[in-house]
Amino acid sequence: MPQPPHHLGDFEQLVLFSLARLGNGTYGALIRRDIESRTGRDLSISSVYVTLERLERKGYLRSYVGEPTSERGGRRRKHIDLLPAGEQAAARAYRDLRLMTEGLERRFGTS
Amino acid sequence: MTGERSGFAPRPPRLATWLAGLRLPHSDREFQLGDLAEEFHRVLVPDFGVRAARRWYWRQALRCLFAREAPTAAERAVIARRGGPLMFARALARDVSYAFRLMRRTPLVATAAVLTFALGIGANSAIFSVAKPVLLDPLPFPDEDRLAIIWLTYDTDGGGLARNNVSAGDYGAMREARAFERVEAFNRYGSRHNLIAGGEPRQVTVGHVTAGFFSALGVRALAGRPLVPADAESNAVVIAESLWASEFERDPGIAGRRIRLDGGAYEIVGVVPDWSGTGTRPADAWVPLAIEEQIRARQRSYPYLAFGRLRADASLEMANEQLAAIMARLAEQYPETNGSPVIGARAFSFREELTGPVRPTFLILVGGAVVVLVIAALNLAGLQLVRQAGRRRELAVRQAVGASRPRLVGLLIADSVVQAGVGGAVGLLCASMTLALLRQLAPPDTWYQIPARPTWTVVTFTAGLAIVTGLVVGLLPALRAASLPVASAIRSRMSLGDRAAGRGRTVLVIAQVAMTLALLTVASLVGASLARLLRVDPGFTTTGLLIADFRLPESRYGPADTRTRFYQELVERLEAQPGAERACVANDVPLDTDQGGMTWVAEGDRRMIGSTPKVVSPGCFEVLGVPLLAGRVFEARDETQEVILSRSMALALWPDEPEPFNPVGRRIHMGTADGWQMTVIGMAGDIRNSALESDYRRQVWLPHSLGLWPPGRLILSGRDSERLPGAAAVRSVMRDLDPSIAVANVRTMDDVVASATASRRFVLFLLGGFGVVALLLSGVGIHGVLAHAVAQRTPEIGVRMALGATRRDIARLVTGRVALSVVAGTILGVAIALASSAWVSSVLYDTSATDTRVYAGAALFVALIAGAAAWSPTRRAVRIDPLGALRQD
Repeated sequence: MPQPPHHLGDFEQLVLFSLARLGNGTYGALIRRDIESRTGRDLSISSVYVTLERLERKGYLRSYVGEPTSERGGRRRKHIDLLPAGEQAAARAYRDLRLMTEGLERRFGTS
Repeated sequence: MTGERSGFAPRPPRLATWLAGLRLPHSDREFQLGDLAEEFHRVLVPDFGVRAARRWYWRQALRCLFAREAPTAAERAVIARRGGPLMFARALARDVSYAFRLMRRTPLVATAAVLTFALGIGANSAIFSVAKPVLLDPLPFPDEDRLAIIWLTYDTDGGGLARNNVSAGDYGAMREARAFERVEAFNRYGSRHNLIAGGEPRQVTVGHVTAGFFSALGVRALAGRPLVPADAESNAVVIAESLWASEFERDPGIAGRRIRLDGGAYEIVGVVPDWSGTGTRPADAWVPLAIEEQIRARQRSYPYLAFGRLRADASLEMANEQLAAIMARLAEQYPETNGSPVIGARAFSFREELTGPVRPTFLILVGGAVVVLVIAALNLAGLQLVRQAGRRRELAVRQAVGASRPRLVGLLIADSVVQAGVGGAVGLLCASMTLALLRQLAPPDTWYQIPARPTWTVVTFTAGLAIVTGLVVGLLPALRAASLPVASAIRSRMSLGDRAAGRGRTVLVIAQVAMTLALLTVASLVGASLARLLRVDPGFTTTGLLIADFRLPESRYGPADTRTRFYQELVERLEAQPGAERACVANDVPLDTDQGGMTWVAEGDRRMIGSTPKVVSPGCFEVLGVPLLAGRVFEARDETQEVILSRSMALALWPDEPEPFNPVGRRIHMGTADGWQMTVIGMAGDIRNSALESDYRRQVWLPHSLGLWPPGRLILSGRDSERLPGAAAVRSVMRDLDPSIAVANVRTMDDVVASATASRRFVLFLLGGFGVVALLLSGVGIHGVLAHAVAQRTPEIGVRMALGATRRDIARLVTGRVALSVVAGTILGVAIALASSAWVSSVLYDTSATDTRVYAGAALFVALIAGAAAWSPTRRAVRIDPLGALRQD
């Protein structure tokens, strides 16, 4: 039975966009740095993980555990793959934003 | 992607990693901490350097620690139904009720926890009551920060600045300083008078103040009015509230009543609060100073102090500049009084004058109480760790059925806060009972008052402290207990957290031992200082003497021969009392003197040497046990101008004379080089006159027949100090001689010496008490840590014993870590005590704040207590039956 589309929160959208850009196999630290460097938001790692967990519950992505590294103090990585549902949700969000901001480029647009 | 770079020198701060891990959900902790570490190494260190990287890591860790958790689905449903704050309140009520149930279920542990809280919080509650009037409360005068006390100043030989009382002439000039709204003066010494208001005569202290005194202070009358400038040359008197209550039953028509003070008639114009004399001249009554005549005459006596109320737009600096200019002008105008040495004047903050000298003592007491609280908190945190280890299964079950981590943390903290609340209430009760004892022990005649009961502010402070202590004690153990994995907690008894908890307990032991040692060292230094002080030879007899105050009214005893006859008669009748040996009269008593100083000049010299004048009847040297080193004492018939000098005074007057020096026959002048000439007839031993600590031992003994500084004390020695005549006998003698003269303040010399050391004994009592409590708490803490360790390691000990370990091996195994902790704590404690030595030395007498014997003694004592605390668990460990231990698991 098809699931009704969930509406994404603002930060959930940013995480999905970042996932789409970084590609499958990415992980929390990369996502955090990507969003922080692009938007200027000062993010905590836990906020990223909470959102990833929520998105995983909604069925938009899946996670799997990787190998430990000494750089990480012997800790493993949790890798993320974007699922088709997540891809669609991201596309929907992007479309909605584009439709809503049509004609507002001059007002809100930055070079 | 595997182990690329190894051997990285900089590492993320471990404490930050530990803190971050406390709150992170167990399922994701490894990954999140790994991401932080990776970013630290890959990006932050190379791009921004180690310091910036560490700062960033700390920020991230703290954000993980304080992150708000998203509610679980179950909680979201409840919130949607019931609403957030209401749910929180219900949960809190449930937690508190559960905490009380838990306390009833484990009464011994709960009692230990409550008592520990009570000790820590109660000590701070008591000290807050005592220290608040001094350190925090404003003085009772309105705008007290605009009040300043003005002293005369002059340069000493050593390059310092000495202070002196103010003369009338100097005060008159100070009034020109425009930075002050008004400048008033008071006589520092006051006087004692016999008050007759119908009934028994009663001795009262009377303050002599300029008529604008009360307006400058901002004191309002409780009945009638305060003194006003128009009262300046009148017989108006203002009385204190306590006199109004005790002698006049708070008569509302008190204004206009007439009283007799030593035969002189006065009219009461008003009543003021008892504290009106705080910082200036506490008294039972105040009369106006007839000072204008003295100002005109530029009289050369210095009994006054000035004080001023600054204008709203003026500062102390401005006032001091103006005073300096005024005094410079006086030095030029009157070189003989103000020019040599050059006399200046300085205004000091009123509040600072009062609180400054006592602040170090009170801060040390506050420090002691805080240390006790911290040690108690450390004990309790350790206790909580153990308790929560025992509740692991319960917490795991709660988590499994849907309780979120914040809920669990809240539950555990409520447990701690409830115990702290009960302990705080018990502590407050103990503190209020201690206040009565502290009031008795406190130094007498201080400007501050220890309250008889805790005020509402103290109660609020205690409640706040209890909540904060409960939170602090409970927080970290709660965060740790709530973040353990569910499955393994349900399955097994041993927790993964045990190793970390063991490290935590090591830190607790080290911290407790360090603080106990520091506190004990300071208390021992204070004790050593007091012991040294009590061993000081004051130069006079300190036991077996009875002292009382009286005052001869000038109106009936004006002529010198009348007074001399009275004193002789008084002395003879006192000596005739059963149990009495010798008696004498004097203007003051050593260590209980408010006598001002006087300068003297050796014949042919110009140097003015200050001294304390001691006016006595001839028997005083024998009564007080002051040895005569040369010459003779006064005889009853002596009316010539003769003096006896203390040895230090003789050496000061004639510093170049070879030893042994005998000043008998030499001449000196009173005041200045052309003052009264006196002949030295003897030299007496030095006495400590103003304080045991004081090294100032210049006295000039004068016969009372000269009529200066009339004697107001009688001193009686007895054959047997147990059978000295009592107050009733002395009063009866005085009543027979003159029923209008009151005998006041009957006391023994032992009482006087005790008062003189009261302040130090007070501090020692409190610090010593804190030290004992800290020792007890630390001992209990060490015992608890070891007992828990033995219980945890029983199977391991069984195995070791089965494999051949001796009792000594087991004892070393069990006590090894704690012993190292005690050593580390001792070193840290010594460092803390050394670091505070500069501060502590300000309250010590003739004792170095780094006295190694004291430090060594305190360290040894702490080690003994630690050993005693360790004995029972160690004994239990070495007696473990290996078979039983192995079967236990």
